[in-house]
Amino acid sequence: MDQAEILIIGIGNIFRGDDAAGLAAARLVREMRLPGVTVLELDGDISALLESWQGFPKVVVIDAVASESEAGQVFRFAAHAGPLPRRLFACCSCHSLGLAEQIEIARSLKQLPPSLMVYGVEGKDFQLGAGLSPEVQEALPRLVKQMRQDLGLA
Amino acid sequence: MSTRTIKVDYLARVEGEGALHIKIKDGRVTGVQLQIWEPPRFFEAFLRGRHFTEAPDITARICGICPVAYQMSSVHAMEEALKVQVAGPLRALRRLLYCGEWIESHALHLFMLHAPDFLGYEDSLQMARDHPDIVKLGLQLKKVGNELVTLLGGREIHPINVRVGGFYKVPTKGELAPLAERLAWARDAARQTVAWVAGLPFPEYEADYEFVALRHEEEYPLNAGRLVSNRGLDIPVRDYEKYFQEEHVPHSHALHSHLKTRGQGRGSYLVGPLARYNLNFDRLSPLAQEAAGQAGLGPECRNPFQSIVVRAVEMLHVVDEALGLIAAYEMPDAPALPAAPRAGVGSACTEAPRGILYHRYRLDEAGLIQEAKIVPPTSQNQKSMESDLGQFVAGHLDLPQDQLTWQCEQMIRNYDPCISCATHFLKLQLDRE
Repeated sequence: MDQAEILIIGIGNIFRGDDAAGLAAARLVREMRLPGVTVLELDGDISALLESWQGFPKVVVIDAVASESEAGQVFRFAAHAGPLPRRLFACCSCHSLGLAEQIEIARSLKQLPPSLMVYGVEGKDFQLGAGLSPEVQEALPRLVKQMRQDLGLA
Repeated sequence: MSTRTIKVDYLARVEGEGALHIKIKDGRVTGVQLQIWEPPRFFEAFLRGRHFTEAPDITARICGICPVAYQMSSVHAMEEALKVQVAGPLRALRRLLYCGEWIESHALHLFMLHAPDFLGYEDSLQMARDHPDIVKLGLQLKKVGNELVTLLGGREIHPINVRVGGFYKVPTKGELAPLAERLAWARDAARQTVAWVAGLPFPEYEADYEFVALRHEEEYPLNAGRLVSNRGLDIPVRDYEKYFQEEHVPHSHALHSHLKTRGQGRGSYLVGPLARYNLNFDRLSPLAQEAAGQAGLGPECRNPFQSIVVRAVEMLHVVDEALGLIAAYEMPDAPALPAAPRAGVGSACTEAPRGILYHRYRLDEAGLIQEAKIVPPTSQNQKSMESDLGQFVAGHLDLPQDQLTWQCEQMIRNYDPCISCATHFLKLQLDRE
C-alpha cells in the first residue's frame, strides 16, 4: 500500500464545547475515505503533534479558534510560511501550550512539514460538557469543502 | 507610607486559570491571595448513583495531565471497599503505567513550563530558539512516557484500559520489549537532564515545611504506603480525614486543605516531589541517588526552586524502575480479578506527579456510589503556596517590581500546580503601599 501523502489532524477536547470543532471536522473527513489521506485526532499534546507529522509532505491541522470573531467564521493560514496569530490559537482549554506556540516550537526545532495548512473555526461556547454550537456545526462542512478544494481533492 | 502591589492577572504555564494578588504596606507583606477561578466541576456530586466500575473512567476526565493518578486512586479505593487485592504482575503493570504518567508530566513541566523561568525566557518557544537540543530532548522524553501510557492505558490521554480488579487487556512480554529499548535511551537522557538542571541558577530561599507523602516498606511512593510527615505523622490512608480537613476560602474556587492537629491558623503542609524526596530518599534507586548526589542534592532539600532538580531525579528513578518492571514481567493468567459489588467504604491515596491524591467512596450493596470525596494535590498545597509567596516576597522586597513578579510566578510553578484539578484557571497582583 502506498504511503499516504496527506495527513489531516483534528485537535480539540471532546468535552469542552466548541473546542471539539477540530475533532468533529476530522471525523467528517474520515467518513469521506479520501485516497492518500490519513486522518488523526489529537488532544493538543505537543510531542504527539510533532511526532505525528514526521514524513508527511502535506499536513493540515484543524482547530477551534477563540478570537471574539463571529461564531462559525472559518480561518485559513499557511503555517509553513509564517507564524499563526497567537491571539487566535492561544491555549483555551486544558492544553498547556496553544497550537500557535507548538507550531513555532516545531519551526525552531526544524520539525515543520514542508506544507502545513491550518484551518480554524471560531467557537462560541467552550464550557465543559457542552456540545458543538449550531454555528460551528454549520461551519464544519464549509471548512471541509474549502480544505478539499485547496488540497485538490474536491 | 508606601504601598506596593504584585499583580499577575493571568498566570501562564500552569494548568488551569487563576491569579495572584500580594499586598505590601510599609515594607511588610500584608496579604497573599492565590485566586483560583476555574469553575467548580462537581465531579463528586455526579459520581453519586454511578456504578463502581465507572469511577476510573469518569475521574480520569478531571485532568488531562494526570488521568492515571485519578484512575489509580479510584481503583485502589474501590478495591478496598470490595475487598479485592491486586498483586503480582497486575500490580506491577499499574506501577509501570504510573511510571509512564510521571515521565510525561515531569518532562512537560520541567522542560516546557519551568525551565524557561530559570533561563529568563517568557516561554518555551523563546527557549526552543536558543536551546533547540534541550527542548528536543524534553519532547523525546515526554514521548517515551506517552508510549508507555498508550500501550498500557489504551491511548495517550485519558487512558481507558484500567478497571477495578486490574485491566481490560494486558500486554504480552513481546509487546513491552520495544519500550525497554526506548526506556534505555530515556535513562541516559534523564541522567543528562539531572546534570543540566543542577546547573541552573536558583533563587536563595528555604522554608520549614511539613512534608507529607506516602511511604512504603520498599518502594519509592507511587501506588501505596502509609501517610507520613517529617513532624511525626504516620497514619494509614483510611485515617486521612481524621487528620486533614478542607475549608472554603472566599478568594478561591479550590478548597484549601490543612492538618487539623496543628492548631488554629496553622497546618499548612507540602505534597509533591520535594515532600516525596525528603521523606523517601532512601527508597530511590541507587542510580537516582547517585545522580542526585552528583547534582549537589543531599537527602534533604528545602529550596522549592530546586524542585526542578528533584523532578529530574524522580524522572530518572521511574525510568529506571520501569526498565526493571519490564524485565521482570510475566503475563498474568487473567487481565483482572473478579470484583463483585458489596456495600462498603474504601479510601486510597496515590502519588500523582504533583503530590498525594486522595479518593474515598461509599458503595451500596448493588455497587452504586453513595458518596465520593476527592482531594487533589494542588488544593493541599495552596496554603503552602501562599505562605511561601509571603515569605519569599518579604525577603526580597529590594528586588525591582518586574523581577519580583517574575520570581513569584516562578515560585508558583515550583509546585507544578494543576488548577483544573484543584477546582472543584491564574493572574498575579503585588500591591505596595
